[in-house]
Amino acid sequence: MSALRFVSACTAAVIIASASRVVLAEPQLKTRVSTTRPQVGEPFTIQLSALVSPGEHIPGDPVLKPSRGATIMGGPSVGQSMVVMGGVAKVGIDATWQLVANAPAKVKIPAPTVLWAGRRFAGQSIDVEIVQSSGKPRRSTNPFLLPGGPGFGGFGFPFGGLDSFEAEESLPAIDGNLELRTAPDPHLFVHARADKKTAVVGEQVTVTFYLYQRISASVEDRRDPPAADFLRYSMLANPGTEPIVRAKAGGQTYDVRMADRIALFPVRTGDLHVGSLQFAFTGRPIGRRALRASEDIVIRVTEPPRAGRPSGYVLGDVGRFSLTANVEPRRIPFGGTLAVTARVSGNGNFPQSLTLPERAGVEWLDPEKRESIGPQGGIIAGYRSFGYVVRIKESGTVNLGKIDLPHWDPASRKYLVSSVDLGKVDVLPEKVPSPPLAAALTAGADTTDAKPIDAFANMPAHRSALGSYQPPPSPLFEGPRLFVALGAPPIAYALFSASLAGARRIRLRRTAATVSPERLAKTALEDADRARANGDAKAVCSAIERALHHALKASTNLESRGILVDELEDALENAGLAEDLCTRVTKLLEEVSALRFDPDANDASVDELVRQGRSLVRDILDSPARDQG
Amino acid sequence: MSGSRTPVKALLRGAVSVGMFVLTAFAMEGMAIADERSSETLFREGSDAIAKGEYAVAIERFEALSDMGFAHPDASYNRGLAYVARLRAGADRPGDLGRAAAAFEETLRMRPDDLDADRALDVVRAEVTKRRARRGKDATTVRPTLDRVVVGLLSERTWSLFAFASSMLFVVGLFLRRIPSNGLSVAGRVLAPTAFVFFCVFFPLTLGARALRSSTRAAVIVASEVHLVDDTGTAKGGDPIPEAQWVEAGELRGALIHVRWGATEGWIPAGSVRLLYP
Repeated sequence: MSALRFVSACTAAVIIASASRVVLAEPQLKTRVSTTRPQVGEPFTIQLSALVSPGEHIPGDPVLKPSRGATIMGGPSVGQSMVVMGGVAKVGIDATWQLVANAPAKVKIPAPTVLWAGRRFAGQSIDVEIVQSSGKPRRSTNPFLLPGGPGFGGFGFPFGGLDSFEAEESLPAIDGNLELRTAPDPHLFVHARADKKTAVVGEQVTVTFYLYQRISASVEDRRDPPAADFLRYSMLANPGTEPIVRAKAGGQTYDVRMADRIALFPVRTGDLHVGSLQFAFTGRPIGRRALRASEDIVIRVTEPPRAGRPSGYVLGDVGRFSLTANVEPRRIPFGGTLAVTARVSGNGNFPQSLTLPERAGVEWLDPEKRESIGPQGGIIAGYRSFGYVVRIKESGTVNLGKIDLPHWDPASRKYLVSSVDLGKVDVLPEKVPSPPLAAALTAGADTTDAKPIDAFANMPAHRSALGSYQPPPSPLFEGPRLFVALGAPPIAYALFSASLAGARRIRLRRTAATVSPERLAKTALEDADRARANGDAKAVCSAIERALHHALKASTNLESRGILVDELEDALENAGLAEDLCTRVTKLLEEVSALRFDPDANDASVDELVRQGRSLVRDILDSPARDQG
Repeated sequence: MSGSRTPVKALLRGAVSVGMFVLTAFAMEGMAIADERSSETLFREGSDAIAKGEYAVAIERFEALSDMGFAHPDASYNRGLAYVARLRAGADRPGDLGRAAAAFEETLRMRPDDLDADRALDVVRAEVTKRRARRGKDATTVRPTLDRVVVGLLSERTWSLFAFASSMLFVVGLFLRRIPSNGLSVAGRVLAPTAFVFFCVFFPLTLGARALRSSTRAAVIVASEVHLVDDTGTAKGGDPIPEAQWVEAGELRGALIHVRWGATEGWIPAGSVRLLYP
């Protein structure tokens, strides 16, 4: 049975070995392209390497089928090849075809094939993207594209997949992220870029300075940005040695090199200026020591939110931290010391100090700090440890307490508290000296070592509960209410006085209206009518005379009653009354005088007098002299 | 159909509005209670820490209370005692005496008849004087300027009440002058100008007290001593302001704050002064 098993195993081993030999005997094929992004009209090459073990037939008859978008211009150019990989030699051929791209498109180049042991073996198909021609010839370092360049014999490239020759091109790639709409200088300039424009105190802001240049210039001098309100860490080990890329600025293509990258941690709130990175260049078009400076970036810095802020938070502790601690020994003699090492690990703005669980009887000496903080993957990370010597002045089991590190995590935008419990330590009891020694010590202490007087020994006790307290009242008259309150009484009085004066004026005006000459003239005419109805001729004459005098007063403001009739006409003319009216007035007054003393006066003459008087009064009141007056 | 829906919708809308109002009211009440509890918890923890001698915890709790805007004379008083505890433990940091004095001063501003705070403040100030004397520095006494003394004689509320009363009496006097009665008219003729004169005195005092309240705050120096600088940052010379001194703080400009100490004024680092409530 065991013999059968042995034979079966040997048979299986032989079969597997044969199979593996068959598999291994196949030629190893590798296809490569000189560029995966050829320009229209630009020649590029496809190379097929076919390797087999030494002693086997060399592959032959390489074939590349034509493809759309690219035309095979020449080839295949076949050369012998030998490669040693891991101490194992391989021999074979390298077949090269030269192609030219026809039009912008994504083209799949079919897999080239070789004939070996009567069978065709295919390499890998290749995807290329033919792009629009930029108009500029691209110089290639690919040797097999140069006239008279080396062939492909000898040692070739190691295998391992599809390679691209892009890295071998002399011109670096264009980085769209660094494109600028305008260029401050046509030759060279420095550009600064921050990863954020707003931050909280202690939050990392990474500022990168790029040097854009289209000319060759040497750096004569360099001044770093002041960044006075920031803690600063350099993110580059060797600034200025970063690879060059290309980018467009103001429509022109520049070579761009990262001049520096710094991590900044703001130390206060406000609009903080980073400052400019300055270079003095010397070059042909710009002259000697031409100064170029980057923009002054302003970062708006605020405090983390007050809501939810844990007690003990120190402004500036921002990042993500963990806290560990080591306490040793855990058992000390009375008055002895122990070492507490607290270690803050993580990333961000590391705390400068820790809030310790200080208490009476436990003295914490100043810490010894150690740290390893630096850039790690674009952030500032590492650890900072605080080594304390703690002296305990009491015996028994002493609880050292807990160290808390509250901090603001900008990633999760919330406060976190890292804590570590320091645990308890045992302090051995104080050794009591023998009685004679104690007496001696006491005597000595009485004379020489007088304890310092505690100035605060008689301080009042603390309060264990909140007592009653009434917050101070708000000001009686806040804001404009003060001026309203103080000005209201005088204003009210002024309004009251003004209204009283107005009322008085209205009353006077009404009174004046009732005794106006015009009104009196009309009243007199009414009296004349009443007297005529009563047949009292004298009263009629008197009323008409009164009406005339009031009308003249209203029209000319002349007190005509005191003027002789002979002089009245001239006086009225001087007062501006029309001449005919003056004559009529004089005449009517004379008629009134005559009728008053005429015992034979009849009703007709009285009626006529009243009619004339009414007519004259109306004419006088409507006369222009009255309007002028 | 639509006519029947409209009242239903209105009712629903009204119910939702009332519900949201009630919920908001409950939420606000809950937040206020939570805040109060948090303040009381911090005070209790801080007081317990003082009792146990854990002055670091006590300072941290009472400072957290202060940062929350919680103003109470007992909290300020205990905060002062916490700093005193750190002094007594020999672990004091520069400015602890000033911080203790600021806390006791704040207590007295809120509760002027607090004898314990008054005594504690005296002890702290005496210790400051003693420590300065050890360094060979004389005790410094400054007097406020006359305007501050006069304005500070009474509170702004009192000045404003006086001004208001003067204004009222002035108007009453003007009214009395109009009354034909001989006695009242004479009283009015005396009262009106007198009240006007008082108004001319009290009104500027009210404005002065108001301007001081709105543009300045009481503060205490919490550094060993600070030197004043002028607007250009140049040292003004003269005596530095000692620790625990009361100053009048004004405008904050960057890292500097304007202070007035007696008749002297200038700028000092904002971190070397502690603003008091209220």
